[in-house]
Amino acid sequence: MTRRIALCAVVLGLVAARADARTWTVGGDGADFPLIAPAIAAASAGDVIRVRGGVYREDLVIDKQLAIIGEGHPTLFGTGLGSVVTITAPGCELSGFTIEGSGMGETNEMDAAVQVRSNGNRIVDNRMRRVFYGVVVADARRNEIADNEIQGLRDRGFGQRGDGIYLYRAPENSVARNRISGERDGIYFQYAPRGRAVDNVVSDSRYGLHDMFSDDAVIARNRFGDSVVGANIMDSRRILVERNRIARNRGVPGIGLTLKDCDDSIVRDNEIVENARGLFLDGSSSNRFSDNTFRANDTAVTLFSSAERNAFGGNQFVDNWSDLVLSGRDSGTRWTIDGRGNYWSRYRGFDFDGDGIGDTPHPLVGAFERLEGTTPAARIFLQSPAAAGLELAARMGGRAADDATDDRPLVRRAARRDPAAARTLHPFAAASIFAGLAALAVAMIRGTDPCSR
Amino acid sequence: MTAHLLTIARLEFVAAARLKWIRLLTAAFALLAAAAAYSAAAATELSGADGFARTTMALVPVVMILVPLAALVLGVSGQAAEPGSEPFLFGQPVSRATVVIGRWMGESAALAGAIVVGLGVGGGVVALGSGVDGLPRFAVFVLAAVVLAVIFLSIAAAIASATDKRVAALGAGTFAWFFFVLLYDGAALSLAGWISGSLGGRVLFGSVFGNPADLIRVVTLSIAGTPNVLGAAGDAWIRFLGGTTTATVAAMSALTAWMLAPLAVGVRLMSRRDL
Repeated sequence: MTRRIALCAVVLGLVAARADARTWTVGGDGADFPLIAPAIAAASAGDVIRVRGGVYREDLVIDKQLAIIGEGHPTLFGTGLGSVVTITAPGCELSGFTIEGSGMGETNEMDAAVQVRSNGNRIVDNRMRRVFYGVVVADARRNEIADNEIQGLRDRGFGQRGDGIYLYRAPENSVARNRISGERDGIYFQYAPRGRAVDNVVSDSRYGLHDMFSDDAVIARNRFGDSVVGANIMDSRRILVERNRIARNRGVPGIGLTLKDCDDSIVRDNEIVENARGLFLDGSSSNRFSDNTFRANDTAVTLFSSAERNAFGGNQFVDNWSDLVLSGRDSGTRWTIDGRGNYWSRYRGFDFDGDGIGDTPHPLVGAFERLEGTTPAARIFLQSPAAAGLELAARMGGRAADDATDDRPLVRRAARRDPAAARTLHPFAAASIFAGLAALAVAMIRGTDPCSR
Repeated sequence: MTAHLLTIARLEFVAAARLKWIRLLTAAFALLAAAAAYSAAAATELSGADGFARTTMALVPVVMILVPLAALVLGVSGQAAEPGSEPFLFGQPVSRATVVIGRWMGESAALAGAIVVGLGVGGGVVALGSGVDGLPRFAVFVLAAVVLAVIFLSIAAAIASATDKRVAALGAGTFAWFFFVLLYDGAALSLAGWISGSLGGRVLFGSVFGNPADLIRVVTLSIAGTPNVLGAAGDAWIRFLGGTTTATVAAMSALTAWMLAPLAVGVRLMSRRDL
C-alpha cells in the first residue's frame, strides 16, 4: 500500500515536471492568445502563462496547476460580478498583476480580487485597487499571500467594505509584507489556526488585524495604524504578538490591541503608541506582556475584572495621560515577571541603593483613574487642576489595600530599539530657544518702568 | 461716551502693561509653553497636528491655574483702585458704567496680550519642530485662554464693585479663584463618586456649565486636544446637550453669558454705590 502511494507520488511528480512544460504568452505582438482565459483553457498542469502589459477585461478561474505571471503589472479588470480570479487547483502562482473591478458585495458577500479555494498557492506582488475583498482564502491551507498592495473602498462605511485578506476555515496560511488600506479588517483570521501575519502594514481600516477562533497565530513585525482598532484578537489561545508597531488608533472606540476571551498568549516587544486606549484586556487570562512600550496613549491599559492571572514585566509606560484604568476590581494581575517590574514615567520614588529598582512600590491606579473606572462620566474632568489635587489628597491619605501596585518598578528606561524613529528638536535649537527666552524675560523685567499703581 | 470708554481702557491697559508681574507672567507662560512643546515633540515622533494637540493638553492645567489667578488679581486691583484716586476719577464727567467697562476692556487687552505672546512662543516651538499642521486648533486653545481671562476679569469687576475695601476685594478674589479652580471640581467629582448610575453622569455634565473654567477646559480639550481625548464621556456630554450643533450653541452662549453677566452685575453695583 505504502509503495503504491510512493509510486503514485513519483508519477505525479513526473507529470508536473514533465519535459514539455510549456510557457504561453498572452497579449502583444506574436503572443499565443490575446486574453488570459483561453490560455488557461489551452494550458495543461505545470505550464507557465506570461502576460504582457495591457488591460485584460475578464474574470479568471484557474482550475489547473499553473503559474500566471504578469510582466510590468498588466491590469486585470474584472466584470464586476463575483471575484476577478478564482483559484480551485492547488499549487498555483499568481503574481505581478494590477487587479480591479471585483464585485461590490451586492450579490455575493465574498466578491474578491482573488479567491483561493485550494492548497499551497502563492499570491505574490499584485496590486489590488478599489476591490471589495482583496484576497479570500476559504477552506484551504498552506497558501502564501505576500508583497501585495490592497486598497479597499475607503469612501464607503466599514459595513459596506470587504476585508483586505480574509482567511476563513483556512489553517496554516502565511500573510507577509502586504500593504493594506481602506478595508474593513486588514487581515482577518476566522477559524484559521496556526496562521502567520508578518511584516504587513495596515492603515485606514476598521481593524488592522482581526483574529477569531484562530489559535496559535503568529503576529509579528506588522504596523497597524490609523484604524479603529489596531489588532483585535478574540476567542483564541496561544497567540504570539511580537515586535509590532500599533499606533494612532484613535476615536471614541479606538484601541491599539484588544484581547477578548483570549488566553495563554504572549505579547512582547511591541510599540503601542498614541492610541485612545493602548491595550484593552477583557475576559482574557494567563497572558504574558513583556518588554512592550506603551507611549503617549490616552489610557495605556484598560483592565476588566474578568481578565485574570495576567502578568506584566519589563514594559515601558511613558507619557500616557493615564497608565491603568481598572473596570471593577483587579483580579490577580501580576505587575512583575520573574521579579522584574515595569518602567513608569510617572513613578515618583527613588532608587537610593542604585540597583535599578525603585525603593518604594508604585501605585498604578491614580485617584482620578479609580474614579473614572467606576464613573466613566468623570473623564469630563480630565486635566482639571482638581483632579491633580485629588491625586495629592489620595497619596497623603494612603492607598486602599486592594489596589494594583508594581512592587519592583524599574527606574531606567530601556534603550530604544530604533533611535531613528524619534524625531526631536535639535539640542542646539532647543538650547537657543531657552536661552533666548531667558534673555527676553530678564530684559522685560529689568526694563520695567519704576512707576506702578 | 465711546471716546471716554477708549480713553479709560487705554489708561488701564498702559497701567497693566507696566506691571512687573504681568511681564513676569508673560515670560513664565513663554517658558512653560516652550517646555511643554519641547517635551511633547521629544516624547513622541509626531506629525505636526499631534505635536500641537499634546502641547495643548500639557498646558491646559497650567492655563486653568494661572489665567484665572492673574485675571482676578489684575481685575480686582484695577477695579478697586487705591483710596484717593477714586473720587478724582468719579468726579470727572464720565458715567460709572464707563469707568468699570473701560477698565475691564483695558485689562482684557493687557492680559490677552500676555497670553497670546506667551503661548504663541510654545506654538512657535512646535511649528519649528514639526511644521504648522494643526496650528488653527492651537489658535483655538489660545483664544479659549483669552476668553477665560476675560471671564475672570468680569468676575473680578463684580467682586470689586461688591466690596468697599480693597483688601476685602482681594480676599474675595482669592477665594473666587480657589472656588472655581479647585473647590468646585473637587466637589463635583466627590458628588459623582456618591451618586451612582446615569444621574451621577448628568450631574457631572450639567456642572460643567456652572464653572467657566470647566467649560473652557472641556471646549478646549474637545476642539484642540488630541482627538476624542475625552472619550465616551465627551461624546455623552455632547449627546446630553442634544448633538454637536446645540452643544456648540450652548457652550458659546454660556461663555458669552459668563463674560458679560458678572460685568453687568459689577456695573449695576458700582452705579448704586455710595462713594
